[in-house]
Amino acid sequence: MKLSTIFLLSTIGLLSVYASDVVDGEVTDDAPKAAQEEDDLTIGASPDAGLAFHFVQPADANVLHEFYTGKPVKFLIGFQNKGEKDFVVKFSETSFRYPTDYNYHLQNFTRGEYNRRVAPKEEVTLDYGFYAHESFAGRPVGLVVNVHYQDADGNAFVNNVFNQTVNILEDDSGFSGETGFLFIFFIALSIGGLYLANQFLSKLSRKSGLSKRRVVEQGTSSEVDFEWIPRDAVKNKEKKSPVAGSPKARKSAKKAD
Amino acid sequence: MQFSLFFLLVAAVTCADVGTQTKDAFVLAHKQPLSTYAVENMDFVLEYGLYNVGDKPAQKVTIDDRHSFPTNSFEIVKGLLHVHYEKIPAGGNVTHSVVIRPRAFGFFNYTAAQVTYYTDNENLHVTLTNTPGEGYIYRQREYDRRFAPKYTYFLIFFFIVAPTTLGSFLLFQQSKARFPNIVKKKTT
Repeated sequence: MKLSTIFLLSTIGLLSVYASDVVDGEVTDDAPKAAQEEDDLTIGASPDAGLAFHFVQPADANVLHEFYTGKPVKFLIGFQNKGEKDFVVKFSETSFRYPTDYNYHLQNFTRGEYNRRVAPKEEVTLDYGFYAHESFAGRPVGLVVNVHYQDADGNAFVNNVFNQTVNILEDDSGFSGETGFLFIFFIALSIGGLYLANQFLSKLSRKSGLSKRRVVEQGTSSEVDFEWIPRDAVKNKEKKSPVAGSPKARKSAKKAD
Repeated sequence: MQFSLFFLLVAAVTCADVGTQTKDAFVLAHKQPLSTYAVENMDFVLEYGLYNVGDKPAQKVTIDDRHSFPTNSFEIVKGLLHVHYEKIPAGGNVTHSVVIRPRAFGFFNYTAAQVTYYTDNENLHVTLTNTPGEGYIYRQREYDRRFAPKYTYFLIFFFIVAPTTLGSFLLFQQSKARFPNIVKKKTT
């Protein structure tokens, strides 16, 4: 009796673990709530389709789940047809959700249109890429990627391939124009400050003595060195005197002669 | 008795875990142009990436992309369009690049490359990569107009500007020649 109860309990345990694991371990369809939100009510995954997901562009995103703003995020979706009929992969939809409430869409990205036919026992890789906007910097968002596909009979299916919270970090590796120009402005300001300080100090030192000898301007010496004036120019002057400014000046010139 | 019950439960949990988690090799194949512009008679770089996202190694992996670049319209400068890898371990990845040179300009449809691999040495998997899609191969002259250095334009600009720059320089030289004394004085 004891042994039978033990076996019974263990089988119940095994079954329960299996049931729970199937629910949360496998990549299955979107949460039922989300499915109801969308217009297609009872769409789920097909048992004949195997899907895989892999980030390509930030190489460590598969482990860390971190992206940088302004840098491309690229990922691959693998689609495996395990059944006997053709599948047509229609498109993938990528969206950012509010991390505490995945029904709230923060941003819907453009669909990745594929329309690829996948023959039985064949696989296809699809790619998609997006940029995270700067306004998401420094906070977590829920990233959801759904793949929509059809079988040969026209039945539509949706598979969720990625449904996790990711952190979006600010990109501080590259040169940003704003900080660069701020830096240049500070350099210019410091040079200006140095110049002003120099002026001020020199003024102070002048006031505190060191009186210079005053130079009194007495005009140029009356001797004119004609040597540097070209000959033709001097001749010109001898020939024809330029018109004097006013009659008064002319008179005074005559008197002097 | 209690201990044995606990042991059985643990065994059941581990068995179930292994059952759900074991996945075959699953290779994602990726094809991507690295050059921004395809131009006739200029190099064009393509990259292929293979990512094994399964839990087992993929064996006898081949990439075959010979059908998407027919030799009458493309010249292969470097690299092979048909490569073979013995094994890609679980979680591993391989990148392979090829340099080709388009012979003609116009629209060209970049189609998928075919990748085949074996799991457990017997199950053949056939994978197609993503398709980069339709791209335009630029005419050489069109490309030069946009990106080549514009020496002829500079030459024409020089001729246009010459009267005002060279002309005034010559005039300056002329007037300078009229003042030879200064130079003599300074040297003596």
